Amino acid sequence: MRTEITNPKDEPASRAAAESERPYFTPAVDIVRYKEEVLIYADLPGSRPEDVEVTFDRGVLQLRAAVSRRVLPGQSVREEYAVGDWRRSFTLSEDYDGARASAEVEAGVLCLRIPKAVEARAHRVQVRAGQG
Amino acid sequence: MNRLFPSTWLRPAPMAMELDRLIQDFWTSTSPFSAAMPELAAGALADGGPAWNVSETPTTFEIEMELPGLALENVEVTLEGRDLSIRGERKTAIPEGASWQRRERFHGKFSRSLHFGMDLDASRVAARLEQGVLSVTLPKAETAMARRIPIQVKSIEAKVQ
Repeated sequence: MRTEITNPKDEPASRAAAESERPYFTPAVDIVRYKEEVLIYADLPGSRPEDVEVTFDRGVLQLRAAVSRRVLPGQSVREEYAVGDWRRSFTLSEDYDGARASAEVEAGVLCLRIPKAVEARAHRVQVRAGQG
Repeated sequence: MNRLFPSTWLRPAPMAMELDRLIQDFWTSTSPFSAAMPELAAGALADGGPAWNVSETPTTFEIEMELPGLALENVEVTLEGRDLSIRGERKTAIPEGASWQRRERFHGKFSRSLHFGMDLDASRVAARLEQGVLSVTLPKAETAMARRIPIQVKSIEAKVQ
């Protein structure tokens, strides 16, 4: 279950217009640093893997998830939350390579893995004996 | 809107993103608040549990609750008499050697309960969890449902006579 990283410029204008009319919310996220990666977990209940879109453009990683409208049948007795799409974006430091991010969605949770940029990884400098 | 359960789960109204405020700091630091009071800052549930929506049809009550990351076997839905409770636990453990940079998602045990004003049919309660959304259908007991009594309308002519 992988979500493609796409370029936002590829998005058709009509779709962008349709999306702007829908209510949307900011999902809760956990961010974890692990080895040479940063992991972002986002709660996106109601979204299937194919509903989730992650884009990276000019240092900004943007996530959008469409949620189909759900209405409980009958008369509402208690309403504690509203249903809408999910949207959030993150500015990455240059140490992380958003273009090589990968994403998985399972049970309404997105896991984004963003690797460290190659230039930012620590590497050992070889020391040689000088001549003389 | 009846909010009997003060809850950290209530979602804020649609907003034009709090991003800018959040973006800059999170790669570099954790807030002093989260360092000093990890339990409060880290999405632990102080009270109750996830928000839910409840509705009533002529024959059932319907409940919906957002439980991302949970499978149905991790959730306990029980009906005792007229009292429903939904319990579960979400663990958000991280691998050894990993470090938290930000923690907003709820974790830990949760429990919510609701008392109904009529008998329910416990044998026909149905629950499903899809894409992190729990849906529970609670059929009303036959005895609790109002019987519709057909009303005979006599014709006006008959009444006049």
